Amino acid sequence: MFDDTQREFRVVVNDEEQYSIWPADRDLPAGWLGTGHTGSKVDCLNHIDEVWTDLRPLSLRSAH
Amino acid sequence: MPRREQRPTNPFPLVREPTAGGYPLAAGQERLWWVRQLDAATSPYHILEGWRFPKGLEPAVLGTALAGLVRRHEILRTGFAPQPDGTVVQEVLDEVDIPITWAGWDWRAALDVAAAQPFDLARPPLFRLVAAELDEGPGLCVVMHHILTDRWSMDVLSRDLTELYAAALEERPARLPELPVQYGDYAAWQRRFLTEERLESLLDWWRGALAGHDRPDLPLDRPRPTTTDGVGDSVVAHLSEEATSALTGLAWRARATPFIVVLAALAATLSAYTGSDDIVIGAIVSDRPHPDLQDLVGFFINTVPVRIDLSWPGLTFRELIVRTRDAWMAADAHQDAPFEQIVGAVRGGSQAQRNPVFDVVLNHGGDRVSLTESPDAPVLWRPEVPTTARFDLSITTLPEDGGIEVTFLYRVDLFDRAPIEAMTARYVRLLERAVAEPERPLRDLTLVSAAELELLHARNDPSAAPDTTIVGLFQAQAASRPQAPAVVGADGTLSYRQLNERSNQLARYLITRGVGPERIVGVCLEHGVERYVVLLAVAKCGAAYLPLDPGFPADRLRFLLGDADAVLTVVSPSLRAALPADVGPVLVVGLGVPDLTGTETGDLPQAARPDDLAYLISTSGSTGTPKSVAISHRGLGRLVAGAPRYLDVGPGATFLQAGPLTFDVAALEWTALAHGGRVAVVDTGTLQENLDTVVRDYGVTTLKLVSPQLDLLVERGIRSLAGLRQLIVGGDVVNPKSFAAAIDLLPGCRVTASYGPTESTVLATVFEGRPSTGRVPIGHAVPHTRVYILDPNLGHCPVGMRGEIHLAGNGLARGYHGRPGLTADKFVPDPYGPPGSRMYRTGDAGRYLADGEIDILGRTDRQVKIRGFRIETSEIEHALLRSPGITSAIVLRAELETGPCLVAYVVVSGVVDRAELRRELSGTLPAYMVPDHIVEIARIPLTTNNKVDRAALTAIPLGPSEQADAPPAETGLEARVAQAWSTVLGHPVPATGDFFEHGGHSLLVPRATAAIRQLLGREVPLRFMMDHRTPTSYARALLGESVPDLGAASREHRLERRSWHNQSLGGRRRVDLFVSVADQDVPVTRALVVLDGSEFVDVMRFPAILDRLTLAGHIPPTAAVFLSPADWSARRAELLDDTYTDVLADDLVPHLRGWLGERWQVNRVTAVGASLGAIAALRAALRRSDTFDGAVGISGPLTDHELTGHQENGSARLFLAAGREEADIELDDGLSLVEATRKVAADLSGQGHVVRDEYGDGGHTYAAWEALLPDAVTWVLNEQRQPED
Repeated sequence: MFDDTQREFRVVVNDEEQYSIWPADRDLPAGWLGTGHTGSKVDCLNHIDEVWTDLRPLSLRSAH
Repeated sequence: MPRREQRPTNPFPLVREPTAGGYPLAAGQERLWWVRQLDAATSPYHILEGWRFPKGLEPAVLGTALAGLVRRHEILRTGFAPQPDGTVVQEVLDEVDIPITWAGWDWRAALDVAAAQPFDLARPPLFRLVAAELDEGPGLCVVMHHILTDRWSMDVLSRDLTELYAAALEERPARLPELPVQYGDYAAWQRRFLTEERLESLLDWWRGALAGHDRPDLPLDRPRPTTTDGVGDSVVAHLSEEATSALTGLAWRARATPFIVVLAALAATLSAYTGSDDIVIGAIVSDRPHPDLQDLVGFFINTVPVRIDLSWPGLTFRELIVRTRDAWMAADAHQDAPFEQIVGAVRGGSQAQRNPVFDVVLNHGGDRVSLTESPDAPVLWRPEVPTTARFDLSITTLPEDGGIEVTFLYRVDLFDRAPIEAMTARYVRLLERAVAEPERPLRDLTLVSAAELELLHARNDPSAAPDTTIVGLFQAQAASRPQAPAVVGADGTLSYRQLNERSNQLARYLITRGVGPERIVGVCLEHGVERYVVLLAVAKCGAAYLPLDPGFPADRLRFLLGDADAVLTVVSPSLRAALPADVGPVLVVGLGVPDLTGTETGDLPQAARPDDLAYLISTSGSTGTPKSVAISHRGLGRLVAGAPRYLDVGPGATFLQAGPLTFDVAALEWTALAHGGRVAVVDTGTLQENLDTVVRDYGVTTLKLVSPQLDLLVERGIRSLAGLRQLIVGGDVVNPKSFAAAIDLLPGCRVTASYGPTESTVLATVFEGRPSTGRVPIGHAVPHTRVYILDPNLGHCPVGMRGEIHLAGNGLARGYHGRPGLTADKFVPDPYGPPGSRMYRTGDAGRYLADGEIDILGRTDRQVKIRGFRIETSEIEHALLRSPGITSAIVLRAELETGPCLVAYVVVSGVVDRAELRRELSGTLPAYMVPDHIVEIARIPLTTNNKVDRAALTAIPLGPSEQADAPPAETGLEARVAQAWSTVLGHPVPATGDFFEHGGHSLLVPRATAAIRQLLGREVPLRFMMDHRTPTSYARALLGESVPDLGAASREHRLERRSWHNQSLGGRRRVDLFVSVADQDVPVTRALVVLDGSEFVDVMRFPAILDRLTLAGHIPPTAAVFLSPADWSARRAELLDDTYTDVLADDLVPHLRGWLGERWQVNRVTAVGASLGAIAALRAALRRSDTFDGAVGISGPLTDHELTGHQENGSARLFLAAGREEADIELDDGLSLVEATRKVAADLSGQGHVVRDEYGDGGHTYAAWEALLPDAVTWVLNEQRQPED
């Protein structure tokens, strides 16, 4: 599934602003939202490399 | 819709045509006949049917009825007679005796015998009957060989017998339909239709249809054995009436049949189990392609491969039905190609004990109806008999009360029952769900029932770990047990209070150096109690530590610290020099620096919050750049909080982990410090040399090792660790021998296997107990951890199904430090966890055992593919570990110039005989899984993280492959076998080539074996070719079999292999040296130079003869040197070259002298050869009488070649022989071989040589030569110059 290079994925994010990817044709698991970005896995991961600049969970970032 | 090809109709009339020479076999019969030859003793292909006769059974009436039945159906009087050319014909007898046992009440035993006893297919009748007394009245059971019948035929038989019995009882003619033709007519009719041309075109289609199919592997519970007893067992499930009617409706709406729907669901199930979307299933169909065949008894079964494409992620069941229907119709249109021919065409039969082309068959029996309607008719009676499984899995569907009964029959030597039960349940569930919702994508159908999932996930712990940090837990211990020892090492002991106070002081200092939450501190520390002062101090600042190995190259250290953006690096005084100068701020801690005297010792305000980082662990990345896994206090807290439930780390325990700090398992030391235990911080050395001393001196109770370390300890004698209370072993393949040894030899010690990637904070699962299978499972989830085994669609795998292990819960790392993309790739949304939670994709393959424990099957990416086979290297590792001499094993795929190959790196104790090891492996693994190279290494190299260092292994240079680089043929018999097989196949087979990989199939086996029988002049069983598939192993087996008095090992042991190189002959060739039974001190007075190695009796056979003759005192101790051509294709030119005999005399014999050393007292050298070798042998004696004074020449075309040399007259002792059956072999001068031998013998005798000529039975065969040889050798070597009796 996640290692399928032919598949289309979308970039998803949870409440803690942790990013991940999910197959574009599957329903999103609860607690995850699409960011609107879709593409191949490589494309999605490159995108995440750009937008996810702080790996700390949101709750921790807010507390600092 | 694509145009459908129709199955062509046989254009020939199907007519009654009795023939004198018998009928050919129908294609399906041919396969059964062959299987019968193959499995002489096992898995009988018997069909059984029985009836009860409520109104009584009259023996005389039954006799009349049976006689009528046998008269009516020729097939019941048919036998199968092998012809000399390897073909078989059906011969119909006029009458046969009907074997019937009147067993009375003791029918059970009689029936068991009748069912199990094999039939000799050459001797009809191929059926037998047992009459029984049952509570409900008499019963009659018939056991028939499958080659006569099939299920439909049994219905025909039932009807005919019933009517014949009724007619006989009423003394009237039976009312049965006329039989316009008999089974033999059908076979002939089928053969006539299947012309070469038609067959070739059908096979072309099949080649295309099956091209590129990558045969998926079902997850087996045991490796495929090399022999099978065919014992089967079955699991039965039921499809409800409701689902069945939905199924039927769906079938008709999709313009398909229920058979297609059942087949489609099976394909979907197999696809889920294998992860492949390219599935081939064998459809077993009843094929009576002419109306006149309806009332015949006979074998009309065809097995048709159906290839179903399930690719496309959103595939719905309705779409799959359409695909399956089209695939079936296309296959059906080409089903006239006999299955065996398809196998040959696609080279699909290359694995022993595995059905060619497919592993799973479907037999949809939905159309079976009773032909008997009379109210007085006997009723069916099916006594139970042992089940035989002919395929890995056979699925049968039968109608029952509106529903469908589904039976999964499986081979018990491959599968356990529980996984098959799960698979059966999953199949039925899929059918139910899919027919109810045919428009839903298949992947959305959950196939594991809620109840099963609950069982499998029973050990998963969804609860959150408490929000504590190790700092809080440690300080609580320090407060409640200040005097208790916390850490102990070579440099002393620190109590909880001391450790707490000193780390508080250091923490205060570190804060002044900028250390705080979310900051990284590099630590490069020696083994000593000081280590925990530093680590605790870092934690108390709320910062995270990054362990560094002083052995790392400077570049790597620089990279790691830069990548982590470390604020400071703390280093032990002795290791300062290991750090490059330019790594940023460095603080040396130890030996009194920094001086913290007077610094406040009280606890600091808690700085670390649960989501702050606790530590980083660097691991090597697949791209070569290291990456650091970032673990939060929450992750570490989850490990620490649950640990006492499975680790012995509380007060009174002393924990030792025998690895460096860079190994993430070092974090387990926190579990002891958090729960009042003691940590021993001792360097036990990479090889654990002083581990027993450390364990004893420090009173270690709890020891954590990785699997190769345990192997080492077991080898060294693990009893020295007595006193341990718990031993934890990690690493993905835990050696079951070592695990069992630890359990047995350490009484009172808990032995725990553990599993956990760094990304899930050290541990994810644990296992305790004695493994029920031959492998050590990794067990079940540790507290606050969830484990899922998911299929490629992220669906849950049922018991037994291979899937990828996913981990979730509080243990998950934050991610890879500074690598958002990589983190997002490996830590993905968890569809089964709390909203917004993540799961880690481990890349490890595993499956559930029936009790819910998890069995690890290796890396998902470590499944390697070689020569088209998918191979799980851990399976080979397990096979190697079963060998007593091997303590550790790692198998890798390597790319060599000659192509990819398998390399096994093994650590051995004592001496391992490679040849023996290969034989053992060949006994348990299919040939393609036997490693090409076996490399002995001193120890398994480990990375700094205590993982197997695969890169270091692949750097070891390999010698030439032990299998692939074998010369074309080493012995004459090999060459002969290769030649015979090549003729049968129509293209050359190398000596190490697998018959079945070179286009051979089972129907060619009788022909290839017939050729070998002719060559040897004796009987060779057909099954030999199945066990020995290359000319090399076949030849070896033939010879091994013919020498029962001398074990293969001892023979080989005494043959010394030499290498001999001669400039003028060219080529380095092997030479085998043998000395017949004698002490090392006894001088050798006779020497034989055996040419061609020798082609006729071979190095493996001749030594036995020499031994026997020496022991019997017929010849003195004799040395024999066996010489083979460097290349068998150049043999002719070499043997006939004049200089050849000179090279033998001037170079080989002096070499022989050198090899024998002081034992050489030879006063007679004799050349021995057969066929062309006979010419060379005689020439040697005639041309070089200075060295050779005798020769044995057998079956040589003597008159065709110039024999005379320089010496016209002489006194050489010459033994010439030919087989009497060779009288018809005509040589160039018109003489037969026998006449030529006589003539040459007379000529040479006339020249003064001492000549004896003999003529044996058996012709130009090994048997004939072997019969002549003892006499020849005795005579030629004997002291007295007179013939013996």
